[in-house]
Amino acid sequence: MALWSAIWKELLVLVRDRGGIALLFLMPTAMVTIMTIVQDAPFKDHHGQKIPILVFDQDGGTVAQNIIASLDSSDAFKVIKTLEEEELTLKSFNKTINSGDVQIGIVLGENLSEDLDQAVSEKIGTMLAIINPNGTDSSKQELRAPLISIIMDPATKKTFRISIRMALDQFIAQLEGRMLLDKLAEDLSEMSGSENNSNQSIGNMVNITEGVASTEDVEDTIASNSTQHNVPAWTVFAMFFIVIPLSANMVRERTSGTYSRLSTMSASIAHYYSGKLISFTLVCIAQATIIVLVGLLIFPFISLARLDLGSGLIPLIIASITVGTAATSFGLVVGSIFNTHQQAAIFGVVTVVIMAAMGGIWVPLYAMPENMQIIGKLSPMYWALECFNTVFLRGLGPLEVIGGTYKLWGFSIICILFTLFRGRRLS
Amino acid sequence: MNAISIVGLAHTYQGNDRPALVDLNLEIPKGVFFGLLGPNGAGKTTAISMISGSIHPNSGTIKILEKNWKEDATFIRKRIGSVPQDIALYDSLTAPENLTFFGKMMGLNTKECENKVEFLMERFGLKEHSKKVVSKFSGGMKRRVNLMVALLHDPEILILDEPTVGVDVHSRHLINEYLKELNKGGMTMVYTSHQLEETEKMCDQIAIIDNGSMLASGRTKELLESVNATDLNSLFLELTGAGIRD
Repeated sequence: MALWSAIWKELLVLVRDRGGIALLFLMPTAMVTIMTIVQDAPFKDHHGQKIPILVFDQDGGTVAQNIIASLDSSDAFKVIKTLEEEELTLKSFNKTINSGDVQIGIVLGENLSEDLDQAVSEKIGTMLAIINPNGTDSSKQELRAPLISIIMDPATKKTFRISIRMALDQFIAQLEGRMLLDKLAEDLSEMSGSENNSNQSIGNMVNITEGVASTEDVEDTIASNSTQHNVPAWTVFAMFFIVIPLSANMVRERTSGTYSRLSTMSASIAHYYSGKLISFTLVCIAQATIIVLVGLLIFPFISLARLDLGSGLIPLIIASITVGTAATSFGLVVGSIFNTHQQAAIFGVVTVVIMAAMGGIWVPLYAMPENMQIIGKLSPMYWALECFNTVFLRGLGPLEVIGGTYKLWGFSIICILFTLFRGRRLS
Repeated sequence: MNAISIVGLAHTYQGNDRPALVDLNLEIPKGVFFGLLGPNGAGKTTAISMISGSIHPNSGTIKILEKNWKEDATFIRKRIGSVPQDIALYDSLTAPENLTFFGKMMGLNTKECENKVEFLMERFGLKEHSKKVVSKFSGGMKRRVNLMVALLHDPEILILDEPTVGVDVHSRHLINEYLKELNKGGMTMVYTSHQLEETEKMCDQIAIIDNGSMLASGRTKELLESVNATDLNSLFLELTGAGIRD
């Protein structure tokens, strides 16, 4: 009876604070939507979006033309060969890249075609000399290394530069390979006296496929897109922000005298804190529900991928209850430590942001330095994110989800025991 | 039988050099209307907080109905009601919602709670304001609800820390009349106030404390006669001095 009354009172207080309730539900919804839209573009980079690339051709030969044509016909790049406002010179080229108008540029060096041609002839000549020592010109010419320079906007991130460098390396390697094969076929045809009819293509001989690991229980593979990655991350972030209203609620009760009044009555401290724990956990679950509904019903209307529930509703409910309880328990600790709203709010916000940063909410843990990965794995928000990832990305069943929640339940129990101990001292 | 017996009560707040209470001894018989008086900072609220169990003393003992706080806290809590000086209510809840919450937290069942809330709302003239949240109440209405919470479980002892401060004449009259009625019914009252005229009219017995120590205690009439004071104001100034206290 007392417990139900404590829960009812907390829910009434929450519902009557319309501004607070709007912040609790609208802010996370706005945050998850904006973050999913923002991060949607990088996910689509590999699925059709073309990156502009400024090409400064100092060579003008066939090799340069081949490179430009290959880049232009690729799925990854859109070639820009001229500037709208000024003539393309080395100076204007550098200025355009440096200003960030175009993020990548390549300079095809002078005599690139001639130098590459000579280099290919030299390599093929050396190879054919093994089978026909008298048939090739043994005189060595001094070779210049063919030069292609890749120039990047200073504001681009290293991961972006590496991916561009790898893509361009692949183009150049294919071009070199094709030239080597063409030259080899031509020389062999000359040596044998037969006509060169070969039309060699240097496409990929090995097919590389990409997929995600799944268990036998999962029939369909869950799509890897911005929605599937952002919804769990920002749901965790939003749920842990319950620390702010909960700690404010507790500090307000102490300063207004209601807590002191309850402590002089025959009211149970366990009922008092259980009321807060259950009601605020329900708020967290409601937040998660709204975010999931936005992913299911709103995202498809704003050109985002529809949220896939992964393992389904029951594992999602288990994950939401677990994470909500952990977030609320942490809020109880913060609320029981501090004596003013300001102290509790600042500490709450800073710890949630730090735990989020450490726990891989913003940057995935695997992309962090090794030491940070070790520390990050101690963050309750990492455990919470893993819990939701198990549902949304790994698509595992209820038992696997429950099995992965022991750290969060341990964290919640420690927080609750601390709050009860602290509560006894306060009363 | 004494409702409250205090022996050698002493307390110093953490970080303070000056003790809030020094060797306080007091006996409050069952069924009396007892006034605890003193200037600002005398130690009244500390003493009252200790009697109601919200502060534990550094030393000394407090017995409520012959029971000790340390050993029989649950027994005592069920028998005392406490009205704090501050309005300790939930602003965003209505008066019945506040009363129901506190009542149920004290262990009343739904029926008991409903009956008691209805009776108190009627008795304190708030029935027509049942749907209004407390934040919209006047100061006097809030004071009445603050008192009503302490009466929900029909306590044997009611501890009131300045229950009529900032209250208009009508509300004060209503509160005081009901307190007298409850006292006539056998409820022991322990009352602090700066309104000495009112205290003189209400209280059978008083104690005056200053700087944490007892200056005088006994029946109001006898104390006035002992120093030839015409009223409680004169007695108070005689014992505590005329200097300003902050």
